[in-house]
Amino acid sequence: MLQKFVPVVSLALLFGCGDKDLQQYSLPKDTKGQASGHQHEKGHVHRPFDYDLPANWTDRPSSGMRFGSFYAAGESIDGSLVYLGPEAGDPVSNINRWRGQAGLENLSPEGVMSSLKSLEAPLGTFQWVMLENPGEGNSIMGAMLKLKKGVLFVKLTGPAEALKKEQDGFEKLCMSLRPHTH
Amino acid sequence: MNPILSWGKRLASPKIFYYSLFWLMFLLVVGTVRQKWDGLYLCQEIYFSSWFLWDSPLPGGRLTMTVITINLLSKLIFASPWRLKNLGIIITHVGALVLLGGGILTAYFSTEGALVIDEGASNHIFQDYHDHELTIIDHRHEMVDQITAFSGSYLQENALMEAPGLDFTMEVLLYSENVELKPKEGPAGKDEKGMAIRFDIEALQRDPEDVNNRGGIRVHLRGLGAEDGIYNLAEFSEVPQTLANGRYTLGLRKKSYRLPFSIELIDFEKQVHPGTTMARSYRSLVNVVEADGSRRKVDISMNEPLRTRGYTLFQASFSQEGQVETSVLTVVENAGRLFPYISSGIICFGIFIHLVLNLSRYINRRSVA
Repeated sequence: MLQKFVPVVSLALLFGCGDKDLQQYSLPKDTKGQASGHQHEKGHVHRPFDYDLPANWTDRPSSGMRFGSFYAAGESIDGSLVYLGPEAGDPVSNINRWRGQAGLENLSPEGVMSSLKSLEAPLGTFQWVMLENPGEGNSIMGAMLKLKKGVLFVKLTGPAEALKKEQDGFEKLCMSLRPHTH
Repeated sequence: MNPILSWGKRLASPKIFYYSLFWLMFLLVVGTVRQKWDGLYLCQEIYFSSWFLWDSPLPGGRLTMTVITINLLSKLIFASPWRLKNLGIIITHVGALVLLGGGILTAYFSTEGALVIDEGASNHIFQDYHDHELTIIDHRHEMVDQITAFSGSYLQENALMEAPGLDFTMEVLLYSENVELKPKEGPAGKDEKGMAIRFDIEALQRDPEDVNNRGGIRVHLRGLGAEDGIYNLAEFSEVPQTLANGRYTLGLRKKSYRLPFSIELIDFEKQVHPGTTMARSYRSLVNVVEADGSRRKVDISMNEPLRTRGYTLFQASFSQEGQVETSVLTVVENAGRLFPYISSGIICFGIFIHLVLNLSRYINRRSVA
């Protein structure tokens, strides 16, 4: 009996380990993000920066990569605030991606750099562009700011005329951006 | 002859032990030398923890140890004469098997990771140094977050992630322990969502140094309607990927484990060599906070770890950002930690018994002569 039993038990010990690859558990909510590995407030995406929207713009729930979403000019302009890691900081690929979205051809690195305008703000100097769609699609007004730990993007998408009218609000929004305080 | 007995005797052949031991020594030498180029972790994975080397028929350390275990076990059961004069040898065999049994427990049930605590704060979650997990955090409840974590066998191409209570499934399209995020050059695909709109992830070879690796995964999510699509997730992302208006957060991080107690960092102290900024010693004064709220003060320093409830906490590192000092403790939970001591004792006892029995036989023979 022993001669049959011992090898079977040994093999079961060797190969009979359960599936520990799926874990489900609950943790008390932790505003420091210790449990989740991410900072999070209930019902909201973590907001790394605070900002003030111009009076006639409307805030809306954010999800995905956005920490801020809003409408301007009624609902004809979609606005977004996104903060990504430092690897997102290449202005040439960012501007050319936006140009593609606005129906424009890519520019050379020199062409991109010369198309950028500067906007001095408390957080730093934003580089921004107005990309007018030659067709009937949406145009883009977008700004980016390289910070020590990441890159901040402010982007309005909508009809070119509406965007031009909201340029003042766009600049005010960039000026109002500041580190988030709890 | 009984077929089990017949097979048992074949498996007990001393030749198996001899050649396996020789191969194990070879692996030990090559694995140790290769650490200079491949790093400790990779060598452990390739030479010592593997069933086969480089997907070839050559046995890795784990298979070799398994063969030795089966050989010793067969020898003990089927080929050892169970007589008093062999008692010492049998006990020594048992000791060796206990050592190998401890190795199995360590291989399958031990965990090691880093517990990071800011001064004045407490933490009970430590993270693995190497392995990743994809986490889905459900924030819908008022007081708690529901966490679902997929690791190990789920982190490979074509694996399907599904779990009770989740409204969606994810199919793994790509996973790598080290990736590079590359800004997309062309337009995003129509199914691409979140970070995948802006970035592609490209798998890189694993770097020998853990700190140089950044895990990444590409998954196809289904079941959330308009948010169905392909998502890229990378470790250390500044912005978490949220879904369903912030109800879920997706992330890739180092595999996390929970301690059954919390460690509260009261004070961290770093001493430097005079005239330099080179650290001479670190120590963390901590409170061990049990589930019932009781606390006890413990000093953890570089050569004085805290051993409690099956865990060993070593002072490993520290960091300082502004005025905030942060202590990093290495946490080791090794289910087989006592086995080397126990088996050494058994082996010593077996050799002693063998010596005594043989000595008495020798003395008897002399006296007869």
